[in-house]
Amino acid sequence: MSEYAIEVYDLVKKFNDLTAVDGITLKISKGEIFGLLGPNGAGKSTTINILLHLLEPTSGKALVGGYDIVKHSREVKKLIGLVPQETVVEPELTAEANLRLFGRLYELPEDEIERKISELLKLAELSEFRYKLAGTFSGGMQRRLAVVKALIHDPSILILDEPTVGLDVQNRTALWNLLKKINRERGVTILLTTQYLEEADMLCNRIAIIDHGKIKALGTPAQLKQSISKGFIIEIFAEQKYTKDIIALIKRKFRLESSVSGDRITVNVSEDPVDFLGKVSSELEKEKLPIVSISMHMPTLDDVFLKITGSSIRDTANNEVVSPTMRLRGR
Amino acid sequence: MHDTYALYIREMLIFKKNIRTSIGRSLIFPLVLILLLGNLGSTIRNLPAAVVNYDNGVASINFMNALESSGEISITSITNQHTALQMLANGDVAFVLVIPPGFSAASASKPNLVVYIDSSSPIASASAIAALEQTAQSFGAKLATQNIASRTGNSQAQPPSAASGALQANNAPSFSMYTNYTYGASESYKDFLIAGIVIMVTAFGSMWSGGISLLTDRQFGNLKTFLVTPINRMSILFSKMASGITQSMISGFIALGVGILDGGIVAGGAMGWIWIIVFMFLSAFGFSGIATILGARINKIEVFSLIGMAITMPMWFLSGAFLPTSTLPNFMQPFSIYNPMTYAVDAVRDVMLKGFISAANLLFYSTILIVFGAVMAVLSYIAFKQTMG
Ligand SMILES: Nc1ncnc2c1ncn2[C@@H]1O[C@H](COP(=O)(O)OP(=O)(O)O)[C@@H](O)[C@H]1O
Ligand SMILES: [Mg+2]
Repeated sequence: MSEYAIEVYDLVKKFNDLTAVDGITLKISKGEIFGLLGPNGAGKSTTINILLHLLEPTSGKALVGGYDIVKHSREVKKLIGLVPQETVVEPELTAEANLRLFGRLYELPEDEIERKISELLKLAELSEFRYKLAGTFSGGMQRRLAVVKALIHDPSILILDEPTVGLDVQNRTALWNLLKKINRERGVTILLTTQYLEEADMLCNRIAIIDHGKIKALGTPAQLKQSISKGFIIEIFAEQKYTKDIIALIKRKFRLESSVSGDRITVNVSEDPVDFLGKVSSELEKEKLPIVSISMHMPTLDDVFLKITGSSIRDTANNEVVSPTMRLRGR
Repeated sequence: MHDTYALYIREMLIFKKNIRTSIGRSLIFPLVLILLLGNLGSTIRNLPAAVVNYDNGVASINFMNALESSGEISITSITNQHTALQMLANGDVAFVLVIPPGFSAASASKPNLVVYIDSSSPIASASAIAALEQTAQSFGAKLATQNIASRTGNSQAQPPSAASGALQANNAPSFSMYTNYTYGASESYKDFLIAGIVIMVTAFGSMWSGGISLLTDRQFGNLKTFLVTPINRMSILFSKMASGITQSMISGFIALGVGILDGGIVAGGAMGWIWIIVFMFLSAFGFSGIATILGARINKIEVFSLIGMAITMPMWFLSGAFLPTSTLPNFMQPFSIYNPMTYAVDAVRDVMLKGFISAANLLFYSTILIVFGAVMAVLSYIAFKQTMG
């Protein structure tokens, strides 16, 4: 067995003339929680579908548990539990019948299936709903059932495609805790994709930022943030006709480079910024440059994303209905 | 095998959960047909008929009175055969009865009655023939023997003339009643209809179970959850076909049960039941194949329904489930010959009405249906491999 749970080498997937995955290389260690962070259409699901051999790679190579995903897809499937993007339970089956079905598809002995059903329902805190139809469950309950369903065959790797889309804050937190527990207590390697910066930040040991099928940055959340700025980030919103003058002013007065994206100007500040915000504000006022808002924060993954791709992940993810809480600024 | 079984159980659990809607959906339409149409024949009253009586003797008057007192026929006496036939051509009367001179003479062999009947309306003509036959039987015993001889001879006896709208002259010995052989041994249109409907329910049931669930499983992503397990992909196809067959046969048996409660018969006895099961299975098998082909290729449930209807409705209509295939217009005849459903309906009808299938027919019907099933199974295997494999 390989020391890595998942190895991906120069993976490419083309749909006609669209390159959905454009030369990805990744190594995920055993026991990690690894996040693929990227906007809609970045190629996250495509990458996962290739790992499970639901799609043929155009070129490149990937190994799961040391097995080639194309040549030994059966072995690979036994090692992986998948929670797909469209969370699917069997709505017309009870919780236990859902688990039993998959136990049988993984060819487990019946007595082991029965044991696993009790154990997994307990893990998902669904024991009292054992004989209830999964279709009657709330979104959060269905998601938890889908997660433990993927664990029925004791996989060493759990892959989740956008596991918390559409969940409210409470259910999202509950699911994060469940995933952490699975990782900690069972030693299951977790690979998840997400568009949510908070999720990647909170949950993952390491993150790969993916955009247009390419990995743009890779590291721990702290590493990625420090790569932007060791200090703080000033963020100024102003009407676009003033942004040029504002940038010039900041360069002249403070010798700082700024970057702009639409009506947003960001400035990296590495020195101790005591009253820095006040100084900038008063200079802008002196020059009669109107602004909408000015604020300062520690670097977030959104800043990382902005720097790497030139646009905020929140702007890119406009196809998705993002819950209001997620639209709030990160820490 | 193991995975096919697991997926089959899943399909059947879903079926059980939705049993009312699943069975209701495949039964409601045919049941309405059996109960309404099947009983329609007996409710026809005052069917207009023209009688040209060249005899005018006591027996002929008695015959006309007897016919009229059956309550189903309203007689107009016409002196001129030509006028009467004109009325028939215009659709003013359902049939014309010509009583030849000498009918009332006390001779041992009566001259033949001649009936001209419009076969374009089988319900009306069936009921007319029933009344004519009943009356005729009380006047001439030969008729009964004649019927049975004809029955065993040919299960698909043609009415004397199949040309659409044409008039027919019947000059068989005794009476011209062999027209009613169109409907086999049982004189009831209901029995005729039940056989057709049982096959229709079975075939339609397979259209709506296996195929639709393949489509929705793909649409809602359930299929993906199966494909990421280490199963043989074909087990998905097999489980869909097997569950589709089981479910549609359950519906078929319910339809048969209702038909029997409503007065239908299975003349073939225990052996007949076995043949019914065999032919229901063969129809279900072929149509499950069609359904999974569609389910593997079509992404929208509306499109599936539309195409499914466009395939099954004409097949059903052309199979003789409703009307004898011989009453179809000439240009449609080839379609009914190349329609596998025709043979399933014929087989079940033989068993239910005649009581047996000749060995030659059995071989013929079952070969056609097995070939049909095998071709559909192979095509659905290919369709499934292309889109899911
Ligand atoms: N089966 C497919 N055929 C054609 N294009 C596809 C297919 N699947 C995905 N794509 C395209 O590939 C790109 C990446 O998609 P996907 O991997 O689903 O992104 P993500 O999961 O990151 O949102 C998108 O532009 C998408 O439209
Ligand atoms: Mg996706």
